[in-house]
Amino acid sequence: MSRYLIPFLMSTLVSVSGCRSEPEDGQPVVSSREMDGDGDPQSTLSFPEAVSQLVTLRNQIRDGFAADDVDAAHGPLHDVGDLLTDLEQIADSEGIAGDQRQAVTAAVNTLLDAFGAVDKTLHGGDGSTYPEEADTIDAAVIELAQIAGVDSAGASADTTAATVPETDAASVDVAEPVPAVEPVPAVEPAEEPAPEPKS
Amino acid sequence: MLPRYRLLLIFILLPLVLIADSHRASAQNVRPTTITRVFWQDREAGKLSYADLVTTNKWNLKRGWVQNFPTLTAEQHSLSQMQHVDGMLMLAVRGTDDENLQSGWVAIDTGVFEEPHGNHFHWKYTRKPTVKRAVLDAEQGNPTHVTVDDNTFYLGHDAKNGFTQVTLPQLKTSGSADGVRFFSGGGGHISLAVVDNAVAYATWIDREGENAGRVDVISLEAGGSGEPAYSFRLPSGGIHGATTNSGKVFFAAADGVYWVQADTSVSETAETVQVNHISLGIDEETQTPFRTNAFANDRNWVVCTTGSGPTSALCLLNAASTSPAVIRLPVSAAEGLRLTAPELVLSLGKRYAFVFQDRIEATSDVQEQLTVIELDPNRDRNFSDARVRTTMPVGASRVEGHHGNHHICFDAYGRHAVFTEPGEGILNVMTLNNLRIVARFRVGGAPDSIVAVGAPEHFH
Repeated sequence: MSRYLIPFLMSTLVSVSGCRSEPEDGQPVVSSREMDGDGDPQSTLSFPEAVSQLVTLRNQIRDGFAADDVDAAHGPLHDVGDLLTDLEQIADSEGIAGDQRQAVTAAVNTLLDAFGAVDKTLHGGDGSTYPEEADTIDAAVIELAQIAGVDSAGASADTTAATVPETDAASVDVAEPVPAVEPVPAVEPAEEPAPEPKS
Repeated sequence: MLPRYRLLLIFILLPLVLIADSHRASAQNVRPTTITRVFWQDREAGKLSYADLVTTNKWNLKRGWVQNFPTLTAEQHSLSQMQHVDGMLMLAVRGTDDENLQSGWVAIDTGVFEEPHGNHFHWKYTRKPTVKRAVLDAEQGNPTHVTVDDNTFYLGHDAKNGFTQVTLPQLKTSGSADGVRFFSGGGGHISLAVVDNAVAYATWIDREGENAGRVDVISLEAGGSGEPAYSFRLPSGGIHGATTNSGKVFFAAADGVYWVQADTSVSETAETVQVNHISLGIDEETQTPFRTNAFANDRNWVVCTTGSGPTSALCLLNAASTSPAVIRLPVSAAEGLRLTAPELVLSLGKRYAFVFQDRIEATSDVQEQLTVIELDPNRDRNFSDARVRTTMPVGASRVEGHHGNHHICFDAYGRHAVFTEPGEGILNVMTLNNLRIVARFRVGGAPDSIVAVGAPEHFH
């Protein structure tokens, strides 16, 4: 067994050590959008790949809201806008034409409106909630998935990421010790503003 | 243990230890996210404080000082209302020394701004707040109320029977006197309602006498006289609040609410203006009319509070109606408590009114509360189904006259609230998706009015 265990653990070690959410300074962020010679973003995805990615993002957004974890939905909600903007160009580059091409345009516009309304709400505006737009979004995704020949369901997003621990308001005892904030020193008129206290 | 098995064990355990350490390190190095920047008044010290509310895997307040803030003392000055728009904070300052009224206003660049990021914006907190302009002298006449209308601040100068208009673009670019204009109108303790930056309604506080119930109407047109075009009189005085919504102007007076049609062309006269009355009811015990002191607006609804103790209520007025009537939502409150003015927020599609149940008498020891009212549970934009969502105990206020009540503010996305406990010297952080308090910070002094500028940073 050890013949397999040690290489597995070593590969796990490598993958964990190499996993980071932020690129190092100076490293470009590699995404689905790459720059062409004129500096304009140009997608390298095929139409089926792009629609599969749309399904994944839809699921991350849907599951984030379902889990009451709006931060899990926030990033995908921004990314889906970029992807939808590219989708018609990708359809053209792959020769999708006629009724199917019109259906792509209609679905993309529907999704931009629906996700846009959800995004507006997320940013404090008077838009829609995800459940209010869910049927509209799902119908448009199914339409695109049928054209692309991909699964419109995809996998559910992992929304188990750790969030900030919360305290039940009902359990808060005002007599409990309160985490103190370091006091800010007094500022005399002639002095420069005090530096930020250490947090 | 045989050497080859010992070696095997090391190979097995070493990665596990490193994995665990990596996870611990990542937990400690979660990228700090600034949620919002809060500015609050400390009435004990007479100063303005600010801090960035930051979260990683725990909450933190990073405090600092507003650069170039003028020297004020609690003995000689009191900070009054403050409002912000487009990253600029306007603070009214009252002088307490009648012999030398050093009063006026301070405009602060909050340092918070939105940066374009493709098809959306990211909030940035990279700059420190700095005073853009401070006007503090014996000529300013003790401003109290601050109103915002479309990127323009208006400050009522109580002792000068007039108000100042401060235009934001000029303030941001030059910080000079450009864009600052004085108008005559209003008196005593002036409330202002401004409609479309075209006309201002400035009120008089008098309860009796020739100016009781008086409202001055002033054209804000460039090149105008700066004097009231006409004045009219409400049937009752003691006007302490004014607002505009859906083409109407509402006033809070001794006998409930009055309203008039907004006269943006300033073509009416004292004889033609029609004053309408909305009663908030009669207190059976005292046989006096219920009144309110301040309004809040959400969509076409004007929201206010009235009563005290068992008669406490949230009042809702549909300003879009041709004849607005009051919808009264009782709020259960103990004897000795009074509702503060409502603060409204739109949070992830839900509309809330936050009202504190504060002690009427500072010496009282009755438990104070925070009540959260959901204004539109069925989301049909008709607030007639408003209901109390929750009520929770809060730490003490420190009521002294018009000051020392609890105050609350919200980040620009409506995700978090921060509220003060003046009697405890504490700021509370609440997440609005579940209405739970997630952190409490002892900042000392008597934290009073508070505003939040900006929304959570977003990284991707």
